[in-house]
Amino acid sequence: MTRYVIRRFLGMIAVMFTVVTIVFVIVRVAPGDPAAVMLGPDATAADIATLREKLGLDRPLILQYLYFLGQLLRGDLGQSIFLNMPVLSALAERAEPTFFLTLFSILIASAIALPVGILAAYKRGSLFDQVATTLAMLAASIPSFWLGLIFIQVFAVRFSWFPVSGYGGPDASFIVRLSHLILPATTLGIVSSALITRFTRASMLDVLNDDYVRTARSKGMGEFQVVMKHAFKNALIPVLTVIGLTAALLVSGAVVTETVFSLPGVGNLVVSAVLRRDYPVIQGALLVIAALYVLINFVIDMLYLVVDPRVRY
Amino acid sequence: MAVTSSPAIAGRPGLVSLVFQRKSLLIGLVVLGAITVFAVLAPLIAPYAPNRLSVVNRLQPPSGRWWFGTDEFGRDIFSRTIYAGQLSLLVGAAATLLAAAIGITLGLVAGFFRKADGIVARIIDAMMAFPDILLAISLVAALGPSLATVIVALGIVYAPRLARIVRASTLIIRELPYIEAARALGVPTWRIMLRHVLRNLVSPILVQATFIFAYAMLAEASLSFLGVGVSPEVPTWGTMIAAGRQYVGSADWMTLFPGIAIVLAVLSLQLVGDGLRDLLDPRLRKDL
Amino acid sequence: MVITASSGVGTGAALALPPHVQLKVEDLQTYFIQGASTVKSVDGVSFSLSRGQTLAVVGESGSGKSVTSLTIMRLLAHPGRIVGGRVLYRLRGGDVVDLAQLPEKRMRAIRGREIAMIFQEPMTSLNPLFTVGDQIMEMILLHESVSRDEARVRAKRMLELVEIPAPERRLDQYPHEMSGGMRQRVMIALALSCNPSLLIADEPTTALDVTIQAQILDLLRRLQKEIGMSILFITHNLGVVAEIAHEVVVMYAGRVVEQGLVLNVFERPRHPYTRGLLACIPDVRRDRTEGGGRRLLNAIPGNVPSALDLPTGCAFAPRCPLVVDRCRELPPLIPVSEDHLSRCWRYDDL
Ligand SMILES: Nc1ncnc2c1ncn2[C@@H]1O[C@H](COP(=O)(O)OP(=O)(O)OP(=O)(O)O)[C@@H](O)[C@H]1O
Ligand SMILES: [Mg+2]
Repeated sequence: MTRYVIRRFLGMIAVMFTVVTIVFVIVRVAPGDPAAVMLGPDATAADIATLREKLGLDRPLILQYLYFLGQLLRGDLGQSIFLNMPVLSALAERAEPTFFLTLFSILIASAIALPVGILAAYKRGSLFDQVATTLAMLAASIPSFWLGLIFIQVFAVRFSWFPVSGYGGPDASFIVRLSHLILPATTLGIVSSALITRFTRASMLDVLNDDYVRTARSKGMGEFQVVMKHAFKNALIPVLTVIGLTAALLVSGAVVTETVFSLPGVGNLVVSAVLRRDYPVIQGALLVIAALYVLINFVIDMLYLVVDPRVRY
Repeated sequence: MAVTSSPAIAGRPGLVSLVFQRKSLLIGLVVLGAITVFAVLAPLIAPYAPNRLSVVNRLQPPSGRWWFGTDEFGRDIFSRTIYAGQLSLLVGAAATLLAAAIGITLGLVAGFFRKADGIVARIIDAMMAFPDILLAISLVAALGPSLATVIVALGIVYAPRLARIVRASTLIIRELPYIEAARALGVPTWRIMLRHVLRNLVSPILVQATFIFAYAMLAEASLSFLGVGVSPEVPTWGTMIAAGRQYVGSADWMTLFPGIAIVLAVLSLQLVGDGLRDLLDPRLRKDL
Repeated sequence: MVITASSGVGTGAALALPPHVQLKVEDLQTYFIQGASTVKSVDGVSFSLSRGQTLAVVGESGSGKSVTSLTIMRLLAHPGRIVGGRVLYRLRGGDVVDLAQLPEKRMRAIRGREIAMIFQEPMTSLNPLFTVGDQIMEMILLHESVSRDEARVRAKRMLELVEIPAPERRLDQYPHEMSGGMRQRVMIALALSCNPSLLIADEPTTALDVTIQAQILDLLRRLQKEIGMSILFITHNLGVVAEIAHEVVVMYAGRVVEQGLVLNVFERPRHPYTRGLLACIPDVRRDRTEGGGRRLLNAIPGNVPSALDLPTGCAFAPRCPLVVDRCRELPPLIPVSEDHLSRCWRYDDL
């Protein structure tokens, strides 16, 4: 068991390291001089030289890389060019809406996907199954920004049930902020429920015909308990994986959804950084989000230990 | 998957009837075909030139004259929607081809050369750690926004998915007894292996490529919507929706129709992908 | 043993069974109906099982043995349906019910408590995510109002009963920490934990190796003596039948082809199929491996016909060495001697 944990941990570090390298490469492949691009056509040669120095672009690539690694190890993601603050602070400032948006989306997605997926598998081939499977495919085909706009049209503009956009100003109460999150979270929740539904259905189908499910029935147990306690618990492991990874990938959906709903979150920050070529911010956001993904992956591997007694090596 | 030396496509005569037996595959193909025809024949079908301005007729609701209404410059949304299909399909197809080229190469390299495998496998894993849209906009930001960079960025983003499949299959085939035997005899095995790998991979690659096509179209729309993809003046479904954003609640048709077009295109691709998976290799079927 | 050649016995009257009978299956028909195709997996099977006795059901793969047992438990998978017949069962209180007609809710109280079942695959029949103790306790808690502590004590006693060493420790182990034979013992402990009156064992030893098989059979025999339950023992191995059963039902393609006391049937089989099965075991006493069972089945030329295109008349005719014109007509179950039935026109030539 310790070996399992150590192996997974080392694996995580290795992937993390590769992620860092990829981010470094992405930002450096920019054709031309990033400093010149950032400052625009009106910049003087002196301005560009200053920025180059500030960004460390005047040093050899390998030194830049080592310096970059050193900075990261100290928890320093660099300085935003336009926001006049460290990238880490900029990200932290915008973390709250993104965190809650992701959390609520995943809750909504699971609340839809788990029951639907379980029931669809249980009634395989039935009308319910067919409708659920088709709807899941439809949900996976809808661009989240479009669904968001439709929700705004219907629920915010026509019925005025929810605010159209924003996060309620700097000193809005939690309830007000929450009301700003309902539409975006529902949008993202619906879109991401598709994958979880399909996965839940597939892993339930895998276990529903297993022998131990028949054993449970032969004990005289009710169908609900048979399905939820014996079948679903066995199907849960792959489903957990997908939910975890969906949560990590939702941050990507947040980029789009936050823009639609003008939520001042990390996604919004990234989009404006891209539009302004604020490379340190892009780089920092990429790093943090990919690291989150890798970390969630690791946590799921550890969850396996708790859920599945067979994982011990 | 099992590796046999029997012809890859057995029972070809029945292929057409097999397609007809699968309702969803058939629907997917028909809708996809219709979208393609509309896009390709846009110059013949479109009642107006996509960029014809007519300020007097701005923001007209759908009617017999403008089937999908007009936008803020009085341009006909129906005409723009079918023209936009050209670009959306082009970006999707090109990105998929690029992803296939990169992904298959990477997968083969990883599978053939033990030394390269560790690094390539790790790169694949790490690439999958980036959410697709985020990675794509970062790449576009690095490369500078243009139609070509959007295609390149999406090609890179989706390549790891194919690389994984190819690598896994190559690794299995490499261990087959007769490949090992050939290697022991000093026969250059990569030729045999390449033939085997590719033959066995036609179906899974085709299926995965269909899904990548769908994701790439969605991603392109997102990038265009965010304003970090193709220039806002170029009509794609994403830019059209972005333009309609300001008129939500007053001119809903501006966002409605391009959105439906995306949904139809992506949905039909997913139907085709699912159907192909069933058709080409029932063993691949995971009820997903 | 009470022999019913066909249905119709005792209709009309309130459900009743002779006092010594635990289970009586009458003209049971279970079909798998999907669209236009109908698989008649069980087609008019009748037998009865006395209290405290063991009835073996033998037959090749696909002859309908498992479907018969799942029908009795009412655990048929989707397209399977009981089309006709009765499954009369004596409850603990003495009442007789027809399991084929019982509502699911009442059936649930019977499963596990009155009728328990063990399966062929000990490796997969236990849930990998729960400890062995939990799985036994779950059964006890389901049917009896006892505390968890009490249930645990009972579970431990059950493990002792099936001769599992260090039961206290085993309770907290997971199935993957045990061998196949050990798991089958756990399954038996689980099945018997509520003192069922009937145990259905569907090829419980097929997946085990020879010595373990013998141990499990011995265990079942001993437990039957101690607890007094009836056993419906399903197998395709006649060697095992001789070991454990009092009576035997031989099935072929969904129908009973011969039934009677084990002694009589083994002494003088009255159906060419049974004779074929028996001829393949030189010494029944010695050869009780399932491997032996496989061998004997191969020795009869041909295969069980697909249930989809059964020949009219005797289903065994295409493989039968004694086949005559008359075999195109399906023979009834003919009483050939006391307590002995055969579905063969030429039973006297055997
Ligand atoms: N779910 C099902 N759908 C359709 N037919 C089925 C189904 N289950 C069983 N059958 C059919 O019922 C017949 C009897 O099957 P059964 O499992 O009872 O055989 P068996 O005698 O137990 O064989 P074995 O020795 O292999 O366990 C088979 O021909 C099989 O095709
Ligand atoms: Mg069976």
